[in-house]
Order: sequence, then structure tokens, then C-alpha cells
Amino acid sequence: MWSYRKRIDGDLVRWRDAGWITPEGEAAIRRDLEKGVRTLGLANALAILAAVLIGFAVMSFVAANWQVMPRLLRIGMLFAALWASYGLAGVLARRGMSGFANAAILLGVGIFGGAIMLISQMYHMDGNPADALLLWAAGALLAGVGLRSNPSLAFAMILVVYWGISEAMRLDRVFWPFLLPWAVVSAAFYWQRWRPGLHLSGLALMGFVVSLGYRLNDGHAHGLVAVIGLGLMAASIAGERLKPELPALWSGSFNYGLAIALAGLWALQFFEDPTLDIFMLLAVLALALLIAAIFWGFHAGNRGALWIGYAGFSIEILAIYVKTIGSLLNNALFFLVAGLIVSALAAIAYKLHARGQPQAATS
Amino acid sequence: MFKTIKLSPTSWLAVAIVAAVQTIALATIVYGRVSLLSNGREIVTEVIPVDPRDLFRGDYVILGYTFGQGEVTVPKGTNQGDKVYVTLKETTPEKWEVVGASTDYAHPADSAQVVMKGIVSYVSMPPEGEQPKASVRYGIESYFVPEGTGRELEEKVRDKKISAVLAVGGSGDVAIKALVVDGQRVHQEPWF
Repeated sequence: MWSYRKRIDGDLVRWRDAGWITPEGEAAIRRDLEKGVRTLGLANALAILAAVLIGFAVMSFVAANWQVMPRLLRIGMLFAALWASYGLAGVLARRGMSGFANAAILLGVGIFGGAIMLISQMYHMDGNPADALLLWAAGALLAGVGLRSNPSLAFAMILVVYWGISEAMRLDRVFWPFLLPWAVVSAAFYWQRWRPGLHLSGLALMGFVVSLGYRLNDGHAHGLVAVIGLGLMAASIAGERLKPELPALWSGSFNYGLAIALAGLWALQFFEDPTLDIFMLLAVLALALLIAAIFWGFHAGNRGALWIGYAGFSIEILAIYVKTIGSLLNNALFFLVAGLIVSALAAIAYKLHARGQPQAATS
Repeated sequence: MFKTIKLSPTSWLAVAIVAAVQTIALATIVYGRVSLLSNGREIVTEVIPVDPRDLFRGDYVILGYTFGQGEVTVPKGTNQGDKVYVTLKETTPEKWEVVGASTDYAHPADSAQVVMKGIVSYVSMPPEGEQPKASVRYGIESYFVPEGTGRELEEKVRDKKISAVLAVGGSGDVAIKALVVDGQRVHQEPWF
């Protein structure tokens, strides 16, 4: 949000000076920006934090007055707190305070989860905690869809991920059922047209795919992970050709594919402990992939790919250095060759850029 | 019908539906427990402390059972995390021993037996030709006590026999009704 404002501040001045927008237009845009900031500001962030704190307070109160209150009273208090939070959300939403309403919805979802735990405790239920998590996630999803609350949906996804991780650890195998609630919550994000939520889905699925490398084939399926990542990248490039009207989808899936491919390649290099020949081959492959991703980032205007490319390149170089630290001569040679290749690529990029510039200015 | 419900926090109907569905979900858990506790068959079993030096951790006590730890013979191919139905038989008063385990619920053969539903927490690799043995959790391994009374109970429990009063339902569900320390039931509450 802040970086966007800073950027648009500079852009607005430039656009006005170039005569592309009128001073009135600039003023209108600035007013619109201010409005956005005011509804999404500090107050809402604090309200969300307050909701979390109050949720904990309610839980601690009920838990602390353990058995002083009869069970029925404790259950009644939980139900009353639940209804009060959602009622408060309704009141706040009707007054146009959507940020505060979201905080109240989140409070309700928190109380729902706390109530599940307290009731289990009340009846000494020591079953599988994962079932409680899934029920909580379902409640968060219900509130997110029914009351169109993005924070609640995001919380549902976090719970689903936590559930998936704890089940995979408990069962000690790939937990495929994770994909079902993941898909449902992702569909809700899509239905809400909420991009940060879709990124959350992307991250969650990426984590799942990467975990396959450590679970399948006795924990040595990282090659598969790298192939899935590369496949996703290829599919995104193909998709962009076929359906260019969805640029955000394709650039997003390209970047997740890149991150998955890198995670697979890194596991092959640094987790599997290959021989030096294979290690070097994989390192060259990873560096080539990263350079290609940086090229693609420039070509397609995909900033995410650029950043993953730069960051991945730095990490890869550092990791190679640490790994091969014993054989300094090979090390020096490797970096020299890599440096020369990248310089050559930089020169090519510069020429391409110089050639592209006049065209861009005229178009 | 769905067209008439506006999905928004400004709609009281939507707010009420969300709150009601969550309330019903919670009430269902309570109802299930209460009916299990009041209708289930009551059995009393001895409890083996998991860690005798630190029985009370915080405000709950960890309970171990002879029929849970590594000695349950399970069908071949049983994995960690699978649901199993364990048949128990009371050999001497308050001592329940495992008769067998299967993946489907089977009614107890006679009144000396009960069938309890559990989740396999660990399977040990069997020697050639033998059936695997497993540790099973039944969801009755924790007993929550009022805040600050754990230590007091711990002193009472030291050197004394503890038993658990369980309620076993018709489909194998189990719940703890109370603990028996030195012949006395402790912390038994009304079901509501």
C-alpha cells in the first residue's frame, strides 16, 4: 500500500507535467487515494488486533472460572459471546465501518474456535486435535462467505494449512485430503476477487507441492518437484499466449512455478548431497533457470519473476560458495565462468534494451 | 431461495445464519457427549500413570491404559492414524485386556466385553509371520482439573490407585465420566 502511494505520487507529477492529466484530474485521483487510505488505515489494523485480544480475554475468563460456573452457564456464555460478536459486526457494517465489522467477524470466528476447545476440555475429549481445527476452519469459511469477510477467509486458509501440516505429520505420509478444503477456500477467494487471498492459496499449494519432494519416493522426489515447477512455468507461458486477457493469473502461476522449481533444484543440490559433477550440473541448471526467469520478468513485465530471479540468483551463488568452499580452485573457476556468462548476458540485454527503447517511446 | 439471502454483514439474516450454524455445530458436540455420558455403558478401569513423577502437567492429568500401549494386535496393513475398533474383556475387576482389534465395528460378544473406537498412534514392525502390534489412543488420555488443583490432586494420587470411570457408547465412542482416587470419585460434574 505505502509503496504504491509513493510510486503514484511521483507518477502523478510526471503525468501532469507531460500534459497527460489535468490538474483537476490529479486532484481527483489524490482524493480517491486518500479515501482508500482512510478506510484501510491504522484504525482497522488496531481493531483486528483488539479483536484478537478480546477473543483471548473471553477464552481465559471462561477457562479460569473453571468449574466455579456450571457447565451449562459456561456453554451459554460462549454462545452469547458468539452471537454478540456477529451482531456487533452487523451493527458496524450497517454504519459503514466495514473494517471494524471485519474485526468483529474475526472475533466471532475466534470465539467459535475457542468454544470448540473449551467444550472438548469440559468433557475431557482428547481426540484428534486436527478434527477440531478442520471444524474451526469450516466455521471461518462460513463466516467468510456468508458475511463476505476477507480476513475471515484468510484465517480459514491458515487453519486449513495448519490442519494439513499436522495431519501429514501425524500420519507420516502425504496428506492428499488437504487439497479439498484448500480448493474450497481458494474458490471463495476467487469468488471474492481478492488477490492477496489468491496469493495465500498459491503459497499454500506451493508448500504442499514442495513437501511432496520430502514425502514421496521415501523422501527423495525432489526431481518431481522441480519438474512440476518447470511444467507450471511452461503452462503459464502457454496460457499467456492462449488467454492473454488474464495477465495476473499467468504471471502469478509463472512465479509460483519458478519458486517450486527452485525449491526442488535446491533440495537436489543441498539436501540430497549429490556428487560434485551432478551438483555442478544442477547448479548450472538452476542459474540458467534464474537468468531465464529474469529475462522473462523483463520481457513480460513481471516484477515478481524479477525479484524471485534476483533473490534466487544471490542465494544460489552464496550456497554454491558455501558448499564448495573446500575446493577453492574449482570455486574460483566456477565463479569466473559464471561471471563471464552473466556479463555476456548483460551486454545482450543492454543491446536489446537500447533497441527496444525508441520503439517504446514512439508507441 | 439463496437469491433472497444477501451475503453481507449488513444483512441480519446472513448474520443470524452464520451465528446459528456455528451454535448448532457446538451444540451438536455437547449433545453427543452428554448422550454418550448418560446412555453409554459404564466401565471402570485401572489407570497407569504415564510419568509417575510428573503426573499433573498444568491443569490436566495424563492417563495411560493397559490396553493402549503398544500391545494391541492390529490387522496387517494397519497404518499410523487409522481408526480401529478394539475389543476388551474384563479379566479381573478393573483390569481390561485386549481381545482383538478390527477395522470395522463388531458388537461385543458378551457382557464381559466392550468395543472401543481408537486411533492408531504407532505401529511396530512385526517379526516375520506375526501380526503387527500398535499403540492406540481412545481420546480419553487427558483429564482436565480445575485451575490450581492439580498439585493437590497429585499429592492425593501419590501411592494410591487411580481408576477411570468411562462411558462406552453403542458405536465404540468413549468418554471419561470421572476419576476414582482411593475409592472416591473426584471432580464429577453434572453432564450439563
